[in-house]
Amino acid sequence: MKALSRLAPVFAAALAVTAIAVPVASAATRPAPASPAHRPGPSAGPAVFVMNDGTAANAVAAYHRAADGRLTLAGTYYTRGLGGVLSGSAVDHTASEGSLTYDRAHGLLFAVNAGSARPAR
Amino acid sequence: MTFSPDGRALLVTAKAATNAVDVFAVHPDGALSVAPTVNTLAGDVPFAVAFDQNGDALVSEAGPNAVATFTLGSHGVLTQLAVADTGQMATCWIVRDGRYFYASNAGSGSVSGYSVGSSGGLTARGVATTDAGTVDAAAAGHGRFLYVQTGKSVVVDEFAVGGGGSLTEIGSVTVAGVVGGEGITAG
Repeated sequence: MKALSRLAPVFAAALAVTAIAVPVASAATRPAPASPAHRPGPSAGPAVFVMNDGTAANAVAAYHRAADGRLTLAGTYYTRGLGGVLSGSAVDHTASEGSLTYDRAHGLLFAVNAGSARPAR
Repeated sequence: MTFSPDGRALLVTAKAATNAVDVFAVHPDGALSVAPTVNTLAGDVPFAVAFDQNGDALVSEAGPNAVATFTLGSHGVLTQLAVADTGQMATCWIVRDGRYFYASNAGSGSVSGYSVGSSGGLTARGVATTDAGTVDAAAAGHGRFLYVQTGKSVVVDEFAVGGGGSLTEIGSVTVAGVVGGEGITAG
């Protein structure tokens, strides 16, 4: 397993981004490693990734997508950053779209750590 | 933030701060223009942007709870083509799933579907109920599936996209260990 962590510029004072390497066409298959970057097995198939925006430890859950569209948890990956909660928000804690973005060409997930004051390492 | 399909423009929604969509030019080396073209949409609270097959922008507007289509001019000027009210509350996110677009209504726990004609006209494709606190969504399977993140109970609702853009829920998963959650994408 090779760790690939690439940091992107900070968008705002209290916003940071982590990049997580994933195979181009596979889901994560290892359980909850405490690292921001992992290269899982190559044969898990299509995936859906969900960020929890956790304020104690931001993490991305990777789900295997079956042929019928149903999801099964395959692994959880910490970003080593913190999620954030906007003051007064009810369910939309970061008021943003695309805070978790997949770069298909490079096999990278970019995750915003809204509660981190500096990029995660 | 959303890049235009040709990568030459970056659109930033300022939401309630200025009610504007700021459009930056993207230079060949990746640098942005020093200042954006500011497209003010008074009172509309532009929240998110998706592009259609013609290169027109769909903007979800949380002020009037609507979806609007715009052409993107060469100098970053947005010109509105059409608008459709969702009839829902807190229309914030919008995502393209093949031929259809789905706007998330955070205040209603629902997703509104649309298709776009060649001239930017919007056709409603129905409203699907989600768990409470509808936020971001992700398309997958070449337009066959839509996954909708909900922030109230931290559930991701799974939908199959049917003929005409209808959504049929096929399941859901709960993201463990958190009280909210935001950010979803498909590989």
